[in-house]
Amino acid sequence: MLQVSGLHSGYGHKTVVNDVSLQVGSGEVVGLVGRNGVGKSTLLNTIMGILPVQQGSILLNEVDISHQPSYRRSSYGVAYVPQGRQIFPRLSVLDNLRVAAIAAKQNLGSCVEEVLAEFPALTPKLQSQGGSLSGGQQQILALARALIIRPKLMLLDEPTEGVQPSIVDVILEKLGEINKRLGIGILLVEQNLEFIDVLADRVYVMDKGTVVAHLPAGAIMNDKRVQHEYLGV
Amino acid sequence: MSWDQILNLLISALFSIATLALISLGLAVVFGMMKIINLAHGEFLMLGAFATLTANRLGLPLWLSMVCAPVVVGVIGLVLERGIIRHLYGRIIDTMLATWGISLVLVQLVVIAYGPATQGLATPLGSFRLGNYSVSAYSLFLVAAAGGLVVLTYVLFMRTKYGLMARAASQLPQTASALGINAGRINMLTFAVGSALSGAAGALLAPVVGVVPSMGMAFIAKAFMTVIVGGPLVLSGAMSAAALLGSVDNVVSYLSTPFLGQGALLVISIVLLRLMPNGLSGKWRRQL
Ligand SMILES: Nc1ncnc2c1ncn2[C@@H]1O[C@H](COP(=O)(O)OP(=O)(O)OP(=O)(O)O)[C@@H](O)[C@H]1O
Ligand SMILES: [Mg+2]
Repeated sequence: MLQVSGLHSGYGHKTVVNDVSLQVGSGEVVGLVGRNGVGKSTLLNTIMGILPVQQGSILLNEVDISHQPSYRRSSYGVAYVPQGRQIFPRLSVLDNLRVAAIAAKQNLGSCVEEVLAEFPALTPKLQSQGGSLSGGQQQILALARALIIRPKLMLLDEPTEGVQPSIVDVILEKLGEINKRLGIGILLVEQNLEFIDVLADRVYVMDKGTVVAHLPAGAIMNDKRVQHEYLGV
Repeated sequence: MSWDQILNLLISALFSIATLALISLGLAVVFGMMKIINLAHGEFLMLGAFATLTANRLGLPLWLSMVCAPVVVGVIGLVLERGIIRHLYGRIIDTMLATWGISLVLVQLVVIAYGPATQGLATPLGSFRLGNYSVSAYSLFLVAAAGGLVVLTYVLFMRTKYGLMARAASQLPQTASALGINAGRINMLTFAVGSALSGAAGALLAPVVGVVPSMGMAFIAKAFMTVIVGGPLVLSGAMSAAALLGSVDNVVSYLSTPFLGQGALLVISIVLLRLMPNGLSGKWRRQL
């Protein structure tokens, strides 16, 4: 599904992501962990085309999208839930969903309704402004907005950051369902190792812009050496 | 104060407000939605006035000539955006220099074509009596037309798919593009919409101000003042600022002289920005 090979990227001439290769198969949940500032978000932003590729390639379903403009990439079936959620603060909750449907040229009425059926908690909030929601509500809205385009792969950047524990459980459950029932693959960046352990099949560990380890998800909970060396736990 | 005095003062206040609203509307869209400091904004208004004048001299009725102006200026804006401005997004100083250069070129081109003198355009609709005062019917039309343009802008940004995408792209450009919005196309359209609104404003103002190549100079400072006092909300902010500043200008001019009215406008803008650095709409929870 997603195949990243020898990828370099960063800001201007500065290279942050340094020779990263990783794969996410269709319907698979893959974790990506690493300390603060190792380049996880930079990598996801590069996959979405928000940052340019300096070297290497990004393939989605065998199609090289490395040089496609950002606004075309979602049409290859990849949806992004960025760090900090990036809900449009001055659009209503409904408009946050509608704009995703319009951008993806999806049938407006039906896909918004489908997503609301999936996340009924959003219904009473539809007219509230995005910026007025709590962190957890925004995270749920960001997930819903990503599902609007009926993706095959979702990139999630720290979905539990700044979210109250009760909603972390809701998100965990929803992500499991999204993966199992809808068959959507997930590349999950997350600090919370238990969260990763429940959802992911495999985990890549990043340090200083490169992938330094690749393990089954269960192993990371037990591997004190990796935890100590690369995650600072 | 007698009733006719009050009504007359009210009408002239509405006229001042409408004038400020008109000269700042296009700028509010371009500056508010795209963060572009368009120093050629006054010249877009000027081009709207000259487009009206030209169409009128070519034989079109005045009302039809006014309708041509937003089309002509919208197309000019589109061409300038594609040719120059789109290469400078995110570079504030370069954009200011480029639009300043554009303003000089536009003024010179119009001087070459029409000469530097003021061109006359008769004010239509005549006037009517209100007690002891004579009121120009066109000033009432201008107030209504300004209101109409504000409503049109509101509908365009709040009720159309383009408007929703434009607001999203203006709030979080990267997230918008990750969702599939082509920001380049949206920017092109938004700049053209702002230019067309300026063209329409120039057309409406043409019969009440001197149509002269340098007329943009008279507008640009007031337009920026209105938009900056208005704050982050493109429409409700700028239009509230127009209402406030227009009323102050009018009341002070009425009590003293128009010169002091302009002075009061500047003073109140500075005081307001000291008190509310983010402008009138800085804390409002509206969407536009
Ligand atoms: N806009 C930027 N311009 C320049 N450098 C940046 C920018 N954003 C991030 N960086 C740098 O790139 C490196 C990687 O940042 P990135 O945000 O990708 O890390 P991360 O792994 O996502 O961290 P976190 O866990 O804190 O989210 C950091 O050293 C950071 O300082
Ligand atoms: Mg990050």
